[in-house]
Amino acid sequence: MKINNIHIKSGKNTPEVIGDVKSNKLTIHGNSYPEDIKLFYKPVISWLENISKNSNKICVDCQFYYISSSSVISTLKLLQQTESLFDKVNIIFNWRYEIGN
Amino acid sequence: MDKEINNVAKVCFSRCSAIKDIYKKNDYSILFSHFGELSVDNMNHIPINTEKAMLVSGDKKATIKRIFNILIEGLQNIRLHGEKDVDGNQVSFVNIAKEELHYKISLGNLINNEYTNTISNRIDEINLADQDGQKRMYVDILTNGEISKKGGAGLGFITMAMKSKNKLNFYIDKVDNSLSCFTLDILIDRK
Repeated sequence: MKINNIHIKSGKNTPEVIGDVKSNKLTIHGNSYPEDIKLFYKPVISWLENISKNSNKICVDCQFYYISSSSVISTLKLLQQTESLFDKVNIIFNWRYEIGN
Repeated sequence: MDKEINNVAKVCFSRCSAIKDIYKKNDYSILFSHFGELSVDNMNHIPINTEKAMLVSGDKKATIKRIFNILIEGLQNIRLHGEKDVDGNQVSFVNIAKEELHYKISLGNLINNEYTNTISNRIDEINLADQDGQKRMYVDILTNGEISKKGGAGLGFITMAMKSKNKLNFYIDKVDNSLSCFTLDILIDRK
């Protein structure tokens, strides 16, 4: 099964999402406060499910500037989903934040 | 029919005006005021324009971020949970004001009367907790929380309280047998 990269460009209130198959890396950077957060992350979760069929390792790299509480919960759910799809020892999770935030 | 619609807007407008009068009496200048329905564009522009105004005023980055976050939560609360009047209008208001040491943000929307006790009890519970207690409440909801059908996470009030570092002041003005105007009035230190 051929899995494509995913690239969602950043919007006014949504982050840029880059999923790279070659490096097994999912990057989510920017603002995250859309009204329908579930809808936004749906393709991202599908991409994770697909890549997990071909690989058992993943790196998730998150850096948010402004993030709403519903996005915080959705990000947590996304990480829990990642944990259920990949071997725990093969998950690298980077949470980047500004000092004092 | 018109009388009923006017009455809903009238009660909310009275509260909005009363809050602005209090701000002015306390030497606050009004940075932004909106009464009526809140569009998606409003939702995006209000925090961004407030951020720009705060940068011009020389506010600290940390204060700007706190206010931006409060606005995101408050405006999403209005859009996701604000009830509509009999004419289908999601009557709401937003005021942002500042003086030398503080910012004030007031957010008003219609709520169903059956939720007035739940909401006031929830805010009282948050206000009674200290910062550690609020953190525990936040983590508890975060761990067990789900995004509701409306898109809310149940973290809005507690996030606003934690970001403001002050008690959440609120008013509930009964409009009629089914609706009330709910107003949050939030104080944020500029330091």
